[in-house]
Amino acid sequence: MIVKIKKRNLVLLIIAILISLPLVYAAASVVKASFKVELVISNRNPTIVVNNITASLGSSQFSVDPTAAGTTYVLISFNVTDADNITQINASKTVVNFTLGTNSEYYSNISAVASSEFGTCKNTTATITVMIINCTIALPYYANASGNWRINISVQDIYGGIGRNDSAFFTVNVVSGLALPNAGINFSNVNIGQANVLAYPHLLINNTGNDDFTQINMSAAALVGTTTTTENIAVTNFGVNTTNSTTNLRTAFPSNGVLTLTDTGAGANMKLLHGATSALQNADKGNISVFVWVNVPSSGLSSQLYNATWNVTTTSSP
Amino acid sequence: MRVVIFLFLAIALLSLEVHSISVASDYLQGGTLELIEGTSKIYSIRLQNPTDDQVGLKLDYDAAFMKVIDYKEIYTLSPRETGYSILFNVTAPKKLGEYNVGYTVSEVEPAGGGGLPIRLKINRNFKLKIIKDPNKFHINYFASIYVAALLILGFALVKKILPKKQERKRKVNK
Repeated sequence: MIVKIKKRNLVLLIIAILISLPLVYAAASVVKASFKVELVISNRNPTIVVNNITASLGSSQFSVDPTAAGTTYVLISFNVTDADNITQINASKTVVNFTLGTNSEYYSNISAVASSEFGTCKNTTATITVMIINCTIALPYYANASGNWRINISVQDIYGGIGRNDSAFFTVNVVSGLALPNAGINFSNVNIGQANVLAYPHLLINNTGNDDFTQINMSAAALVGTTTTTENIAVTNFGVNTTNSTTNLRTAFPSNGVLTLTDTGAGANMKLLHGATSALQNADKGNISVFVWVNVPSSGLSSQLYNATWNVTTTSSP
Repeated sequence: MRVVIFLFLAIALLSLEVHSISVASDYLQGGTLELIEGTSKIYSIRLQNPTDDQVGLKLDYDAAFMKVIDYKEIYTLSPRETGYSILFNVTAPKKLGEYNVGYTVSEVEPAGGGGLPIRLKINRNFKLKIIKDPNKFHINYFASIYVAALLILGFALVKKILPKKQERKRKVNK
């Protein structure tokens, strides 16, 4: 079949097609697309800068002397910056730890162990974004001497974001300390010829520092009569051991009166290492007991007071 | 007849007073103070008095390598005083190597507490290591002597061998 279309109609048809073509194309190619807008409100953790410390040096920045048989309080001051305003800093969650190496010796401020209270820290406002926190940490006398004590600080904000700083080091110096809880020893009344008399109380030597003594010398002298000074009890009549047994491994003082205490079990010098029952390490160290004995001569002595001064010398060597 | 004697009798019974002595000192890595040859360094100790009484302390030290600045025969410390500083000026001896250095702090008056008086003494030792000055030109005397000996030997050999060679050449030429 031949369709005859007039020229004029053909032109109109072409125009109609051209006009409707974009509409047909648009209708045919509709794509449904969905999108979402996410709004992330990020919390910025606090940042900590320890005052008066150049942490970039990576070495000890200050030193502390422990106090013999006591506690030394170390003040650590640091600035906490929260870009979201200091009202977001939860200062009560401040933790300051002093840690030493891999042996996990550590000491903390009180707020670290009693989270409900601020403990030994105090805070002041410096600016709208900076808070100054001062914490004191108790360092006991038996804390190990080292130049590698690290200060670990952490502060939380109210959203639980934590800021940390553990870049600062300090030194705990050596403290060498000795204490005798009983200032002197006493044999009280003894009789002529009496053997194996134990002094009371025994000599308890406490190590009240963080130093380790590798040798203990006792230097004795003859006890001289305070009334008749020509009468005396020779130093060789005295002896010591570290057990209170009469059938013991007692060592008599030599004639020069100087005796190095020995650990009979180890066959070496008796040591007096640092420690305390409350210490994380060396809980069984920190003191030694020395028992002093006398064999009273059977003649040549009258009834009077006999006296002398003895010395206890402890030595520490690297 | 048995005679009762009194050895350091307690007229008053035993004293409960704690008797103590203490000294703090600069921490030294490995217990060693390193000094560059020809230099000196200040090493510090701090006397402590952990008791409730005034105490007198005496200081003895190894004078071969160090000297106390402002030395006193007796150092008197108030009750509970800590940080009584004593400065040692430690001088490096001429010879390189390691030396043992020490000091002793002792009580002047021992406390007896009604019994036999016992004086406490603390003896501390450390090592003094003298090291080369890295900024100084060092002559290794052993190496110098060795090199000189080699040169002399070489020179002697040349002197001995060279005339023989020349003689052989001369013979060949003839």
